[in-house]
Amino acid sequence: MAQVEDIFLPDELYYDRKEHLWARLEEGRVRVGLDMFGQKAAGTVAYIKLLPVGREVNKGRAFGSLEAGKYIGPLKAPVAGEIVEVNADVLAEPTLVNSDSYGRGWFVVISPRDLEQDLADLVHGAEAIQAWLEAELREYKEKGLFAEK
Amino acid sequence: MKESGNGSALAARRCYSPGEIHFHAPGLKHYETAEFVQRNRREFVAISLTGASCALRCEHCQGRMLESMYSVPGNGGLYDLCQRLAANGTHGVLVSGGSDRRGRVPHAAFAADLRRVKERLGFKILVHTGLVDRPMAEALAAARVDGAMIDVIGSDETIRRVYHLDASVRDFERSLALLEEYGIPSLPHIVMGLHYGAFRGEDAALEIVAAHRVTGLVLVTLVPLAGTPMQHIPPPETATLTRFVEKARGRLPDKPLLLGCARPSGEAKAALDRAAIDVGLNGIAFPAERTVAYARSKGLKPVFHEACCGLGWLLGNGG
Repeated sequence: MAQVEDIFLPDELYYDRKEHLWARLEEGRVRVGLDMFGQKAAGTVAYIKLLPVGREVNKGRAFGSLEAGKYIGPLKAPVAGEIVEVNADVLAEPTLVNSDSYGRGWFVVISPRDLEQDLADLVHGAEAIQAWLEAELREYKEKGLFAEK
Repeated sequence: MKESGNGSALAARRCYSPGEIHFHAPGLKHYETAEFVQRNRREFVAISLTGASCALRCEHCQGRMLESMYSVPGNGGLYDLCQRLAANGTHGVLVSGGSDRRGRVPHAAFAADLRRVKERLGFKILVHTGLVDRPMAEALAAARVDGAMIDVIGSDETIRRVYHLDASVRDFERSLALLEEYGIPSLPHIVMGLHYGAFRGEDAALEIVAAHRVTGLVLVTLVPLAGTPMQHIPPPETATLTRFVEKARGRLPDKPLLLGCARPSGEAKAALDRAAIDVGLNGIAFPAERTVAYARSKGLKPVFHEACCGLGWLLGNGG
């Protein structure tokens, strides 16, 4: 498991470099959530809006939006496909994103259209994830995107 | 909403900001909607002079708001921090911080640094003051800050119970008077629903603001933070908020009236933003999705800024 300070990223997941969304492969489907780095940068999540089941979404396009202490903006799909599940629990209790990033805090499950191609530019594998996490943390601190303590 | 009320409120806005409404996305948070995308999150940032520490530990915050601000390690560190920020594209700062037991943010101790930041880096500087005493007013005037923002509370009970502060409404009025006396432009805030979600001192606060020479008024909503004693208290109903916004518009027809950062999320926020446009507000921070389109549908021209909602008015540039 990749870890820097108190942020950890499980090795088995795929990560969107820019959006800090994770993607978990589950028997041909893709469950999507916000990684721990992303939720720490966003702050406490107050509101989530998600497209309904049945909607098609393109890679990099919004499947919903999120409002948090330090983030107001879209949630952009790491893979293209049809939304086949929406997490009603996280809509009712948005702080699940903060308290259980890789568990109950997921957003949607997507039935992918072109999984192989879409996974190609996501970060995967223990070494790659660790190197990316360290670089991200360095860049965020240099740019002041994490508040200095 | 009565049509006649709308009409007169919109007319009030138009008499000094013809046909425009201002939308703001300062660097306090990442902001991206289909209508307004913040380009440089470091353009205008918030700094806490006390890190995450605050002696008051108010019921709705407990110092949590300070956690996302840049932190100054000690006196002398403010200028260094601002120099680093300037190198990364920052042009202005909101200097905030926790309060001491008497409700004051310790600006007086940082006056020399504030002045250097202003003179050498050319930053726009806004300050959150808390209660103002004469030494602070002197220090802020000497530092030539661009404006002071202060939450005005109109209920002694709220001051005691929510802020844990041994002070009275008169102390807040005196603070505004001192800012006025020292020629520091002020932009007071009123937190709607501050008394555990109920309206208690808001009307009195509005009268205090109306009685002083302020630049404008910012209305924000109680948004209790997670992990505080108020965390499960819902914000006031949109209709209640809207009534007060309309009342404020009527009471301050010749002043800029703005919706600040702290507002409910989701549909409640969108409804409040639309209502604010209907009753003639001049500016909105971090507008909800589709608020800009709604403003356009009302014949208003949107103007976008990446700084705090009060800055333009304090500088005399409009929103």
